[in-house]
Amino acid sequence: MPYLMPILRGLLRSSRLRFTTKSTPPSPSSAAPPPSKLSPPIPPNNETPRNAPSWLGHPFRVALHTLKFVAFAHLIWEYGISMSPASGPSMLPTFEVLGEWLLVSKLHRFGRGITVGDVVAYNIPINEEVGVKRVLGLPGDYVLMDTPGEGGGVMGMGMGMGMGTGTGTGTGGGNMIQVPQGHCWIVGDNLVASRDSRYFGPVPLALIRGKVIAAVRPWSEIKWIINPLRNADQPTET
Amino acid sequence: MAPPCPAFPTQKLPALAQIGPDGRVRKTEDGRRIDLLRDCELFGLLQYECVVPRPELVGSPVQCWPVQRWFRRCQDKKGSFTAETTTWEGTALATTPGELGTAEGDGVQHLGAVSHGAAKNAKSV
Repeated sequence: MPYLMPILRGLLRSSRLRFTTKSTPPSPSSAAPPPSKLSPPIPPNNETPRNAPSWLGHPFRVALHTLKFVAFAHLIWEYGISMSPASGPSMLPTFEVLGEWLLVSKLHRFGRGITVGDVVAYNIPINEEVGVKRVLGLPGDYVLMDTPGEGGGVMGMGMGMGMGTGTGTGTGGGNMIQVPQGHCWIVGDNLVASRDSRYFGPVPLALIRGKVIAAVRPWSEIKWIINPLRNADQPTET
Repeated sequence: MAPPCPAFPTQKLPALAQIGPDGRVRKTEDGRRIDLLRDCELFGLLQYECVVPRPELVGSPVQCWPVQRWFRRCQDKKGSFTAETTTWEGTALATTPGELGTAEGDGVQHLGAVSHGAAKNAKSV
């Protein structure tokens, strides 16, 4: 391997330079200088290889650090917290139609730790997009399939799923279902402009990507999303 | 896809709320059956109906009207569950015993009056 020889020679030369002293240059006949006369290494021509950042020492090391950073960022993004833009009128007035960035906690993926009233990001079961809605029912809960309307009645929106046949009008009307195991019931805050479980039925918890914990309006303000479900004895926040 | 979910009218909620997702009858810690009024706390949250009154105008304000939704959180032996009672609170149904239940009291009748539409305060966003 003749091409390795210049490299080895250079390495040997640099190691010799580190341990030579200016006052007592090594002679071929003398032994190694006493330890007391050792001085800090002085590179020739004031070249200081240590001035360069240590992580730039080797191209493979740079690649390795880059790979580590990418893997760590992926870990945080997929299993910790992520931020992504959101648009649409379905969550008015909680979120604006445009310009919202949502902070999503992935610790709540698959519906872990989700309670009624939380806002979740989920994979829409009827297309490839990601939606944001409020959870109104968890497995075993009972939910109204339809939209509460004027005077306590309902506006039929969930009738197209073949799940009910009632008309659901008038006070005390409406159809309900029990959310099946492993599913949840999600509804947008803007009832008149939201395509949600009233349209496509209960959503598998496996499609929950995380819980929305804050809305960030880029670089200006951050609004924490708090579960609005309140005991009726407490004053209601508006 | 979700498994088949039989729908039922709100009137049957007090009776069906006593059946768990596994088909077994729910019972409280002391062995009684669930009574929505007696055993469950009332919770509420607001959702909205938002419209753009002048969509032809750029930057037109959005007007939102609140829609009150009511929930009852009940505790049985296996944990807690929630039943939406938006269309049930404050009706005669709320004081009528269910097929399996024994509803008592009339303490929530006044809540139905504000369950929806009564607080139609426009909120601009």
